[in-house]
Amino acid sequence: MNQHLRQIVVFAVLLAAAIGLFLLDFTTGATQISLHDLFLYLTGNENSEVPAILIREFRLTRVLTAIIAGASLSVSGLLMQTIFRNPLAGPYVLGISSGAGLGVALLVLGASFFGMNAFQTGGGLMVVLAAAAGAGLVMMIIIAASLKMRDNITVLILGILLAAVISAVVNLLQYFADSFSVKSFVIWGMGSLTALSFNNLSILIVICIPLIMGTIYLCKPLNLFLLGEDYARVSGVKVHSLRIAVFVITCVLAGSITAFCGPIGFIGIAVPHITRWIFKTQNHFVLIAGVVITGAIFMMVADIISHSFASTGVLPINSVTAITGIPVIVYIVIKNQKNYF
Amino acid sequence: MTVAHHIATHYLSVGYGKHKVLCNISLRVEAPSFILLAGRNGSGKSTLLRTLLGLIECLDGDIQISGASINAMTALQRSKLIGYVSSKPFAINNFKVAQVVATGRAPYTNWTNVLNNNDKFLIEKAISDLKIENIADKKTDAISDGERQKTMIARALAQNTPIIILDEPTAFLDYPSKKDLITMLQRLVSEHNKIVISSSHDLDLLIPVVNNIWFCNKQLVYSDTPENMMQYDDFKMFYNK
Repeated sequence: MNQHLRQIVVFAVLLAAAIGLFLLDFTTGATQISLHDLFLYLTGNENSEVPAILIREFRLTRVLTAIIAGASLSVSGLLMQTIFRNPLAGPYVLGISSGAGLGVALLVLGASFFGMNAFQTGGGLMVVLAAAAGAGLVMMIIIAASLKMRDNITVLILGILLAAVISAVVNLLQYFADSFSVKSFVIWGMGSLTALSFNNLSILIVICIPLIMGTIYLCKPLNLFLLGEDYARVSGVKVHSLRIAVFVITCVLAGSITAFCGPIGFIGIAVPHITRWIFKTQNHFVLIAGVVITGAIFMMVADIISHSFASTGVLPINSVTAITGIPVIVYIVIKNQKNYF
Repeated sequence: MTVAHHIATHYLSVGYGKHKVLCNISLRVEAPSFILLAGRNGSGKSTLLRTLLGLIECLDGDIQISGASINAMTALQRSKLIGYVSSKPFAINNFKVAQVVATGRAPYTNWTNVLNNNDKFLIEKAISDLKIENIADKKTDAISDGERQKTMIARALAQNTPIIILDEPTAFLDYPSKKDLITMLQRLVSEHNKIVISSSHDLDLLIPVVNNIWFCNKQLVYSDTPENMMQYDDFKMFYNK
């Protein structure tokens, strides 16, 4: 009971922090927009100084994207760490983000051969589908490998090698593509929370939120899976179905975020560990809610950092998450003698 | 529960892929019964147990549990019939011993995994049967291998199945704990009408108390009472070694 009370308090504190960061992130950026402007916008009042379109398309969309990207990547990282029984699993490390990148590259750079720009003509949904398909391809290879080779390190190395092959293929595609497409692809590759329109964001919301909610149904089997595959099966878990469910959810979550925001690294690995550490539990019922809010916080902090140097423009979000996320991962690797799995 | 639970195998072959470890196994056991699965290292004991559990597929033949083929059952149906204690120590931290024991109730809870009073009663009873009350609140990384073993046995008891399969449950235990465990398994059989199948190398402790011995030798499984088994040359050689 004591532990439950503590977890509720921690959750309340995180929620308060998230709301604070939401407001702070909202006011951070090149244009001065105050909370009063947000209040006027939300209550539907006229605002002569800041047009509503600026608030909606630029600021609100960016902050909500940060929240949903942080939450989605963290959830897919958590699911992958449990299913692979590997503390270093995550959509970025295992090459899932690279796979999504390959899908996008094939679409964007491929479209350039026909004189089109996929980001503009194909529309958001095409990019999502391409990214999810690419992510699914890599995930299938990784799952097949992890069934054959029970060794965690081998699977990680395979993920890294796959990412290397994919980046080589992407380089080749870039070599042959026209400069305009290459530029838009390279910028996409740096990661950005600002490239989305409000319509793109609504696609993300419609895809990601139901999937994240759906993972609550997986909490019980995921908890049992922590005891090992045999114990999960003798406890009545359909392990095969669980793997497929996790496979689909992680690919679509990581794939769709990657499609719109670029490959954002290290959130997926780092946030589940931070969450286990603050909530002191392995219970997925607590962890799912925990990673959603911690992931959102992590991403908003990264977004605030990337916009705090407004005089020089916006820093690539990928660099910010790497610089803030990698120390956490280094800490995990060093401390992993007391392993989680 | 008037019908006695039973396990029957018909010309069963077990193994991995093309490699058959044991062939033509036709065994039958009816509750209550305490069975010792004996045999040398690598003779196929674990493979047979894992096949009985439905963890690996039968290469040939069929297993019937209380009249139903194991292949026709869902994982959930099986989990209400057979409990399992693996020989491999599990490696999971950040879990309390009591929480691990509680996972034994998973087949009976809904997706929210909320435990009712009966669940809680069975969990507490399993913990006290194994005498691990003192470590119930400890994290699993702070206990010994033997205590982990007892935790997983308690977990299988909490599952409250008519059949319990244990793969070398005495391996990590000290001598008094071995004797306690065997006494407790005996009680499960005599008082609760269960079928207990346990592989073990502690023959001296188990032979006096079991009803039957299944002996894995040269790709075959021999089944007989301990008295008759002692007449069998291969078993005598194995036992005296």
